[in-house]
Amino acid sequence: MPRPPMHRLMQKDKNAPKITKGRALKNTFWMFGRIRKYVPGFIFMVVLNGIISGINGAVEMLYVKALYDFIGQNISFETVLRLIAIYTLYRTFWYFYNTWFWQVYWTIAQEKLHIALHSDMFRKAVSLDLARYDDPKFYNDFIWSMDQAFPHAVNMMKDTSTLVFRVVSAVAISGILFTVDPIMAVIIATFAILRAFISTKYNKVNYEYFDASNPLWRKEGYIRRVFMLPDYAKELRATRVGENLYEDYVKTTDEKNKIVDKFKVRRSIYGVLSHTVMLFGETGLFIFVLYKVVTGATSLGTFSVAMGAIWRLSWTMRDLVVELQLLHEHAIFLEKVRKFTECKPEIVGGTLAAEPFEKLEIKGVSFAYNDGDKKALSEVELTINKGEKIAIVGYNGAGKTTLTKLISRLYDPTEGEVLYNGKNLKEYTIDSVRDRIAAVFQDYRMFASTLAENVAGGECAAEDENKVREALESSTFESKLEKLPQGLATQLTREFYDDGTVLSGGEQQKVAIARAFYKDADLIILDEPSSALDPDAEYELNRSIAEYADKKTVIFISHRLSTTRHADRIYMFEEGRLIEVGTHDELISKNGKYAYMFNLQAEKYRKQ
Amino acid sequence: MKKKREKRLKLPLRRIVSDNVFVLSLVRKAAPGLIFLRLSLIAVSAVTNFLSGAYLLRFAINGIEDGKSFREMVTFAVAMLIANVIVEVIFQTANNSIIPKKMNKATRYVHEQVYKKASSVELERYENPLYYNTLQKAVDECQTRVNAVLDTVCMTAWRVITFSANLGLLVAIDPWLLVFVIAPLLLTPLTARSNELGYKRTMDTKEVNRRRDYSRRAFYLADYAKELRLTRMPELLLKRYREAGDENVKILGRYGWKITGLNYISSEVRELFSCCVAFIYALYKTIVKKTMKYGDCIVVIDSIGQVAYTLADSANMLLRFQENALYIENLREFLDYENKITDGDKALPESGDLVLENVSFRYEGASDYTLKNINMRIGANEKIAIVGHNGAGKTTLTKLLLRFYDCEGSITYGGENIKDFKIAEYRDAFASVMQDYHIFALTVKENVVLRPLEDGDDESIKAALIKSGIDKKVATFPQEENTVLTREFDDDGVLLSGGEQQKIAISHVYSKQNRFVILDEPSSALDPIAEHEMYKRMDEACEGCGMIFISHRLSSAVMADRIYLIENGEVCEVGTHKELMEKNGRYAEMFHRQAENYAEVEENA
Repeated sequence: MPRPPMHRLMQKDKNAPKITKGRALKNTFWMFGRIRKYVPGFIFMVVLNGIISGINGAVEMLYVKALYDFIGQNISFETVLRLIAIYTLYRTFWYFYNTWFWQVYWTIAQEKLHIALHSDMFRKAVSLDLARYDDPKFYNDFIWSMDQAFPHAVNMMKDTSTLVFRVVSAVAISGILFTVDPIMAVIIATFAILRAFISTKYNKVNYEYFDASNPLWRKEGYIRRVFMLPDYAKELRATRVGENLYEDYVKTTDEKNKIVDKFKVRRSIYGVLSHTVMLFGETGLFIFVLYKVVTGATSLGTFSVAMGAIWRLSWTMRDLVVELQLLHEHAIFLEKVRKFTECKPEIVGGTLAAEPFEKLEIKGVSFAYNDGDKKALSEVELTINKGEKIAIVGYNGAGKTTLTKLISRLYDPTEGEVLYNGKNLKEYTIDSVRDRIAAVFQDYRMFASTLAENVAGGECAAEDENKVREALESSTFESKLEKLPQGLATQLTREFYDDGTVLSGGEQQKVAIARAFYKDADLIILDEPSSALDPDAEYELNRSIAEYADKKTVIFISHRLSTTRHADRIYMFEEGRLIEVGTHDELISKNGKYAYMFNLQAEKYRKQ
Repeated sequence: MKKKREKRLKLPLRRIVSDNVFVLSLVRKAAPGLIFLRLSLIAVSAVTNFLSGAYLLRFAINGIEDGKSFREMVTFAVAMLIANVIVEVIFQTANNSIIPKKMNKATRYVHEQVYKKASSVELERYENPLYYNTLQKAVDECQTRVNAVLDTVCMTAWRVITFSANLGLLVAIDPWLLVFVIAPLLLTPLTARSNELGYKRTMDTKEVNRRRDYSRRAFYLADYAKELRLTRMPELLLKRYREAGDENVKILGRYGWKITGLNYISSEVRELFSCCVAFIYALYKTIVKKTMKYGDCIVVIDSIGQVAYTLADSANMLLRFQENALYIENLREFLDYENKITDGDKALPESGDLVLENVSFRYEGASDYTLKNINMRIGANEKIAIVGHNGAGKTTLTKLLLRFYDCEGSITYGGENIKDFKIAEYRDAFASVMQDYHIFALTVKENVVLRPLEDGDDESIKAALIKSGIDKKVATFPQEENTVLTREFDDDGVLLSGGEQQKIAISHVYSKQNRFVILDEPSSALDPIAEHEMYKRMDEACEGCGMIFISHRLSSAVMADRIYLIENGEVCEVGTHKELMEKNGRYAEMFHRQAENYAEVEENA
C-alpha cells in the first residue's frame, strides 16, 4: 500500500473570490491565451508531454504482460530476446525524451514564462494609480497577485500536463483491460471509481483539518518572527513580553491538539476506508485471476495486467478528480490577477507638453483618499508664481503631503482643479509634468543600484555624471561622496553586494534631494527635507538648498517652523483646510494659530 | 565588488550522524515513545506490504506450478488481507491522533528551548551579521526541521526494510541476481556528478534570482510606488530584470543539457542492467533452462528494477540527512552557545545612582571605539539629557545602561557593579521607549505591561492609558483593553496610527514602578503640539525616578538637571543648560544655530 504524498491542494487562499464554474473556465482559457503569447509552443509541448506519458504507461503495462505471458509457454527464446531488444530501444528514446523535457525544456520554458509574465505585470503595476495602493483590499490582492501569479501559472501548466496524462492513461488502461477480460475490467473500474469517491471525501476532511489549523500556523509564524527578527530583540530583553508570547505559543499547541481530537475519528475512518477498499479489491481480483489461471482460462500475463491496472486506474481516477479541482482553484485565483490586469488607470496624461513653469493655481480643491473617508483636503485655494519660495506648515495629518501629491499628479483632486500655467494639469502628458515638477517625499527609498543611477532616477550615461555630481553637491552630499572609493559607481544597499554601501538616514535624504535637483525641474517640492538630519547638518542643507534653488520655485513642507520662516509666503493648514496665509511677520503679528505654533517651538530656545 | 554568493558546506559523516542523533534525542526527551511508535508502525507496515506484495505473488504462482491447492493460496491471500486491514486501522488511528499530538509536544519542547535562548542570548547575536545568520536559521527552521529529521529517519527505515526484504527474496531465488542489483552502483560517480551540477545550478540561479526578486519587490511594495512614478527607475529595473532572466535561461540551458546527458546515461545503463539483462537472465533460466520457477521469474520482473533503483538512490537519502545536519549545526551552535553576559547574585539595592566610570565600548569586528572613556552620573532623581549628532554613540550608551552589552570600565548602581545583579531584575528597574518600539500582536493590556498579566494589573493599566491619553480611543475598541492589536493573525484586529502606537508604548512607562526611564528620541514622529504635551506628561511620570533623555533637538534639553554633549563617542561637555551656554563651547554653538531661526521672536518678546 504505497502512500501518496500529502497533496498541495492544502494551501488555501482565505479571501478567494467566489466565482461560477463558467467564469472559472473562462479564466483558465484567458490565462492559456496569455501563456501562449508569453512562451509560444509551451502549451502544445505540455499537452504533448501528457499524451506521450500516458501512452508510455500503457506500453510499460503491455510489455510486462508480454513477459509474464512468455513464462510457462513454449516460445522460442529468440522471440523473448527480440521483444526485450525492441523495448529497450524504445526506452532509450523515452528516457532521453523524458530527461530532456524536464531538465531542459521545462526549466527554460518556466523561466521564460517567469520573465514575460512579470515584465507584463510590472508595467501594469507602474501604470496603476497610486490611489489604488491606499485601498487595502486592492493592495492585498495586488501583492497576492504579484507573488502568486507565476506559481499558479506554472502549476496550471503542470496540472494540465498531468490531467492529459491521466485521461490518456485511463482510456489506454481501460482499453487494454477490456481486450484482456471485460468482466475484470468492470470489477477494476468499479473499485477505482469507489476509491476515487472515498478519496475525494478524505481530501475534503483533510482540507477542513488544514483550514482549521491555518490560523494557528499563522500565529506560530508571527511568534517565531518576533523571536527571530533583530527589530524585537531589544524589547524582548528590556521587558518580559517574551513570556506573553511563549504563553500564546503554548496555547496554540493546545489548540492544535484540540483540532487533532476534533478530526481524528473522521480522518481515521476515511483514511482506513480509502485504503481498505483497495485492499479488498486487490485481494478479490487476485483470487479471481488466480482462479482463472489455475483453471487454465487465462495466461499469467493477465495477472500483471490486473494487479497493475487496479492501482494505476485508481490513482488515475483519484488524480483526475484532484487535478480538475486544482485547475478550478487556479482559475479562482486568476480572477484576482485578471482583475488587476484589467484595471484601467484613471490618471492618464493629456496631449500637451508642459511649458516652463509660470504659475500654479489650486482652485477649490477637495480630496479624500477613499470614497466616504474624511476629506484630507477641503476647498483649498492658493496660487504659486514663478520664483517664489512657499512654505506649507501645519500639524501631522493637516493635509500637507496630500497637497503635494496632487501637484505632482500622483492623484487627481476629488473636487476642484489644479491649473498649471492656466490650464488644467490633466491636459498635459504625465511625463512632461513630472519633468517640470520634482518632489522629494518623506518616505524616499534607495534602490539597489549605483549612486549615480539613484540620483539620475534611471540609467546614467557617462556624459550625465557631471550633472549628478552637481546635484549631490547642492544637496551637501559631496563630503560623503569623497569618502566613497568607487565614487558615483558605488553600489548602494547590500541587496546584491556584501560590501555595498549602506547610507545613514540623513545621507539617504540628501541623495533623495539630489534626485530632485538632478531633474532640473522648475518647481521643486520638499517634504520635511531635513527630518533625518541633526541640527548642524540641517542648517547646512537649508543654506545649500536656498543657494541652489535661488531662481527656482520651491515648496517647503514642514512642521518645524524654523525651516520655513524665510518663505515668501506661508500657508498654514489644519485638518485639511487652509487657515492662514501670509509672510512670517504678517502671521506673527496676526497672532493666530501659526504664531501659537511658532512660539511653542521657540519657547524652549528662549528660556536661556 | 564582492557579489553575494552562497558557500557550499560539507560535513563529515560522523558529524551528520551526531547532528541527527542530537535532534532525535531532543524528540525522545520531549515526547518519549514517539520515535519508537513511528518506527514500529513503519516496520510492521513495510513487512505486511512486502508479504502481501511480492511474497504473495511468488507463493501463488509457484503454487500453481507445484500444483498446490487453490484453497491454500486463497487462505494466504485472505490472511494477508486481514493483516493489512488491521495494520491499516492501527496506522490511521495512530497517525491521526497520538502521533500528531506527540509531534506537537516535541516541537513545543524544541521551541521552548529556542525561544528561551533567543530572549536571553546577547543582543550582539542579533546585531552582528557574523552571528545573526546562525540565529535566524536556528529559530526560523526549528519547526520544519524537527519534522524533516523524523520523516527522513522513517522514510529511510521504510526503504531499508523494503529493500532488504526484496533483496533477500531475490537472493533466495538466485544469488547471481545480486550482480544486477549491485552493478548499477558503478554509476554512482555519474549520479554524484549530476547532483553536484544540480546543486551548482541552484546556486547560480539563486544569485540571479536575488536580483530578479529585488526588482519584483520594488515593483510591488507600496514604499517604492511614488518613486517608480516620478522617476525612470522602472525602465532600469525592468531592464535589469530581463537581463537576469536571460542570464538564468543561459545557466539553465548550460546545466540542463549536461544534467540530461548524465541522468540519461545513468538511468539508461541502470535499466539495461537491472531490467534488460536481468530479465533476459531470468527468462532464459525459466524458459530455456527451466531451472527458475514461474513465480520466481515474475518476482524478478516485478521488483528487480525497484530494488536496484533504491540502492542507487541511497546517495540521495544521505544528502537529505546532510541537508538536515547543516541546519542542525545552526541549531546546536545556537543552543549550545554560552551567554557571555551572565547573571550576578547580588540583590538590587534600595536605591542609588547610576555611575559610569571610564566606559569604553567597541562593537565586535569594528575597528573603532563607539564610546570612549565616558564618565557619567545619573542620580536617582535627576533628569539627564544626552545630546549630540547622529552617530555620536547616544543609542549605544543606552544599550550599555540596560546591559545589552558589557563594556570596558565600569557601570555601577548604588555602588555595585551592574554585572553583579540578576539581569532580569536589573532591567526591570528601567522603563524605556526606544526610537524603534514595537506594538505586539497581543492585547492592549499586555502591550502596556509587556509581561504576563497578574491580578491587580487592571487598575494600573487603566491609569497608564489615561495618563498617555489613549484611554478614550481604547474604549472604542470591540473588546476595549482586551482587544488584540495588529492584524498579524486576526484580520479584524485593531490597527493603530503611528501616534497612537507611540502612546501605547509610553503607557508602558506609566504602568510600572521605575527607578530610571530612558527615552530615546521619542518625539521624532510627533508634531510640535503633541511633542509638547508628551514632554509635560513625561516630566510628571518621572517624578521620583531618574530620567535619561536622548535627543538631537537641544530645545528639549533645556530643562535637564545635567546635559552631556557627546561627540565622536566622547563626552565633550557637561553641565546645566545655563552653565553650558555660559561656557560658550560646542553646545552653545549648536544651540544658537538651532535657535537662530526663532531668535527674532525672542528679541520681540
